[in-house]
Amino acid sequence: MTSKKEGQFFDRLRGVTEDAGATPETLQIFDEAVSRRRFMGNMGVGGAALTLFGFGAGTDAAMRGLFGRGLIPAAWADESDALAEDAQSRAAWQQAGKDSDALLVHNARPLNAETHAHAMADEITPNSKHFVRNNDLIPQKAIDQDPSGWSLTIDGEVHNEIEITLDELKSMDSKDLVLSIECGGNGRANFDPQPRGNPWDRGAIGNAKWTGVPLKDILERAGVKDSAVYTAHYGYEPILGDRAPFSRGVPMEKAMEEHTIVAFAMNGEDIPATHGFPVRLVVPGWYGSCSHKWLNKITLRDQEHDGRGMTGYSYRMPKYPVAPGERPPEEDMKVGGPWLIKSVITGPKKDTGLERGETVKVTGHAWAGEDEVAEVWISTDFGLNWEKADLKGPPVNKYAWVHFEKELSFPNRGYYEIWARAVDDKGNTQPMVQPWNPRGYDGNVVHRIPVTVAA
Amino acid sequence: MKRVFFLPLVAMTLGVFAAPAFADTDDEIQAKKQLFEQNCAACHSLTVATNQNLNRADWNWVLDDMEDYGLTWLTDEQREQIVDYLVANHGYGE
Repeated sequence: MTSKKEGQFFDRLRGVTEDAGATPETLQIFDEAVSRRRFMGNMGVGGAALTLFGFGAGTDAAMRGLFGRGLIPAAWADESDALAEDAQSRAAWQQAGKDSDALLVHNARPLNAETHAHAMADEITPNSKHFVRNNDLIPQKAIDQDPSGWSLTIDGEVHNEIEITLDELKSMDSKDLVLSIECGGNGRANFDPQPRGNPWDRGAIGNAKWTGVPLKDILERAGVKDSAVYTAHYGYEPILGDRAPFSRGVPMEKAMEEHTIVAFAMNGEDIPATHGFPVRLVVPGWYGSCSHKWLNKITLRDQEHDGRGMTGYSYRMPKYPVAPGERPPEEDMKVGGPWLIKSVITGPKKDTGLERGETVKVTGHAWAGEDEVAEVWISTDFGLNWEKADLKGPPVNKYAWVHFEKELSFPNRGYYEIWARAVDDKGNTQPMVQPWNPRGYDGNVVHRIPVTVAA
Repeated sequence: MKRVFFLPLVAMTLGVFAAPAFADTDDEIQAKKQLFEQNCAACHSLTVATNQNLNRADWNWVLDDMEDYGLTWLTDEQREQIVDYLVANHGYGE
């Protein structure tokens, strides 16, 4: 836009805002945002000027975040514009064909978005609705879907260090598996007090069909030494800030488990940029951070991994239950891993209004980390009474979630909550109150859907 | 480090330009808000912070980590002002 046209645009926008009954305070904020935007425009926000000032790559996006959307009243910064501040994230979003109505964007940079519970009904999560979690940035080559130069190195405690090309990987025996990947912090929003980190509610889980080669087969090509006890995963993503690359790992037993795969396709397509093109790990049932995206190296270690995401309090749980808000000493923390028994209600949508006697079908999914879902129970009276839901089981393969359904009707008017509580094959169930830990992992409190029944 | 060296210059330039328009509001709060926005948005979306709700100890814990991650240019006073702002606007107490 030329500055004259832009000026007219903002003047018109200001008029509309004023007509809509904006307060003088809002108009002042608007004027402030516009004047800053014009100032930055004159400076040449395209990057050259800022580079002269010594800022590095990404400054343009950060500055637009700062002087664009950041100061525009919230009502203007609508959901579809949530990625406006980061051109690369927006490009990755579009490349993946993401459905902005199905997803809630937590941050543009790094890109983090979860699926709304009511948008999770698919038994196999389509790429367009799969949650996105990033600690760092998305590689441009992934957005361009350019696999040139990619290879996977296996080194460390192996007999022969190997490097596998994409063609070699695809020529190995592969399998299709429906696997849930769930962020370790999914459910953090339900902790009280709120711990550090993104406030994921229920939707940082997806259950897509992945095509890949068992990691075991690849490691065996390199020859696993007896001294190997742990993996360390690395990718080619650009790192945010001045810090070590994000790198988590798993014990050898999990690495050699047949459902742990090096995946090159998601739901039958090349993996979208947001999910790790061209190749990612899928370590189902464990914190999603084990399933490294843009994977290019796995190092076998003779001790537990100590990469970023393995030490301190990151992806770590207290060795004993702690009081809400309490931070135990670092030595009392241990690496988190397998997920607990859990369920989500995908319908009805929260705050649905019903008629007396109307039948409503409760739908959802349950999953159980390393275990199996045995039962799902539904309550509409705050847990006094529970009725068993119908399970569409068993899952297509281990680690896929299981779909459940239950028809309900409400004979009387009033406010109700539909609760779902899954039970695994060992008898573990979900808590009514969320146990607390310092960084908000393992959140699996029962999901509650409020509904109102009219008189 | 070139990047670090030039940051105060930019902050100063922008600060001088922006300050007068906030005359009707609490200048001190606005200054703290500006410090938060200018420094934290250098790397990540402000929502990474503003979506959270933490007490002072936890916000200080976050700032400790950010310093480890490259936020090396803040003075102690600036850091405290950012924490003040976050505790007041995205916190639940001391």
